[in-house]
Amino acid sequence: MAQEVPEFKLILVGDGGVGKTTFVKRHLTGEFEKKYVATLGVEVHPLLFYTGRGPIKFNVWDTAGQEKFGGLRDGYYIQGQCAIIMFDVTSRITYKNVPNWHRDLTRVCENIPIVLTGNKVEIKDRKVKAKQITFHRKKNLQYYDISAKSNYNFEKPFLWLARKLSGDNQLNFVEAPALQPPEFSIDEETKARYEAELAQAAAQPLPEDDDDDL
Amino acid sequence: MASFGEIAAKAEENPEVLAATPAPAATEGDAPTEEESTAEFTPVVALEEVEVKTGEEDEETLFEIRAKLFVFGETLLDKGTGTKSWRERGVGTVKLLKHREFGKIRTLMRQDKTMKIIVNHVVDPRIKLEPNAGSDRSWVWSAFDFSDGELVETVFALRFGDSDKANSFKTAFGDAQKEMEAELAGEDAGDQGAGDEAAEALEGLKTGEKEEEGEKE
Repeated sequence: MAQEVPEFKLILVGDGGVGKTTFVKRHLTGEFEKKYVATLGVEVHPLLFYTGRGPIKFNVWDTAGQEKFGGLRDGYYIQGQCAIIMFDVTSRITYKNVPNWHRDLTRVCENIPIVLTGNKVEIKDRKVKAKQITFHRKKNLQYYDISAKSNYNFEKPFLWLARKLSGDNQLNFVEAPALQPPEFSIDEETKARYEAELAQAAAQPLPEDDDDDL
Repeated sequence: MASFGEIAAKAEENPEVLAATPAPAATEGDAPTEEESTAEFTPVVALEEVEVKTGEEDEETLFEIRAKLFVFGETLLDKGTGTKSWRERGVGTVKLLKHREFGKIRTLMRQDKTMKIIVNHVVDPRIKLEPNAGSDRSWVWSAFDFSDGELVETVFALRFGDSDKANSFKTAFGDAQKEMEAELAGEDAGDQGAGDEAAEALEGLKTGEKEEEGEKE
């Protein structure tokens, strides 16, 4: 039953620092990176989701957000099948630039499903209020408040895109199949190495943050 | 606030909405009411509905609890430097699952919402849960994890809501380990078919026990 997994090119754009790479990494490994590296060039991250219509893969193009590295060339956008435009709700300028990102995107990709996301909603000092976010209505985009930090709505943009691409508005994510872990054996040397690593890990405190959801 | 039109539209799909109004969702401050874009697109693929297999169908849940998972390792920024740190891998329900037929017990955890697997390993009797840097609500351990479909030695940490919850997990995990130990010993004594594998497992088990005694000074 080796059915081919459908793949979609997803373009992720928005100003530098709004949290694009962090958001992708949340899905890549679930990790949340606090440090920021200006993404140079492009990184393509394959993100697999399990749906009621089988697995699907988004190849997420994480692009250089900052204009100072030069705008994005058409090559980034060509054959994009869906997109996420991201801004930071604590930074007005990143919302003001959304129309520019939308214009660049739709110049190359005509009529693809696009989600607008306002990131960092976990921060108390919100600058772009919900009422001020209207661009998506003008252009008929889907909008979600998200938080790459707290995982608020973090699956919604992908789910909405998957629904549009498959034409099934009831599509949902389902449990990934949990295969039985196979038997294994390890030698003493390897075991000692692992124990040393475990001791190192046990001594290093876990990152402190809100555990409201536990 | 949702307009009357939105509420009415929602009420059509879900009559409880009207009864529940006007209190807007009190989550995330001034989050806008979620509206659905009316844009129409031509679907790019036609996918058949599939039967969902969780892989847990033949297992019973011995224990389950909410927790936040971390893994220890090099971050993308520290690749190749040997500098390791904790990274969050998600929040979800961690379960101890026992196979009804084979008696094997595993630890399984899925990330909330995406339901992706973030922990999947056998409850090996040799695993030791260690506290994390003096925390009374976290456990650290190392295991051969199969989340991504290949065995990878992984150092995990789980943080629980409070120390009672953390302790209840430790107790359940210890009980599961005892069951696994008995299961492995039983397999060795009885079933001829699985004899070799069980003997090997038991061999490893004995080594583990000896060491544990040694460590107790």
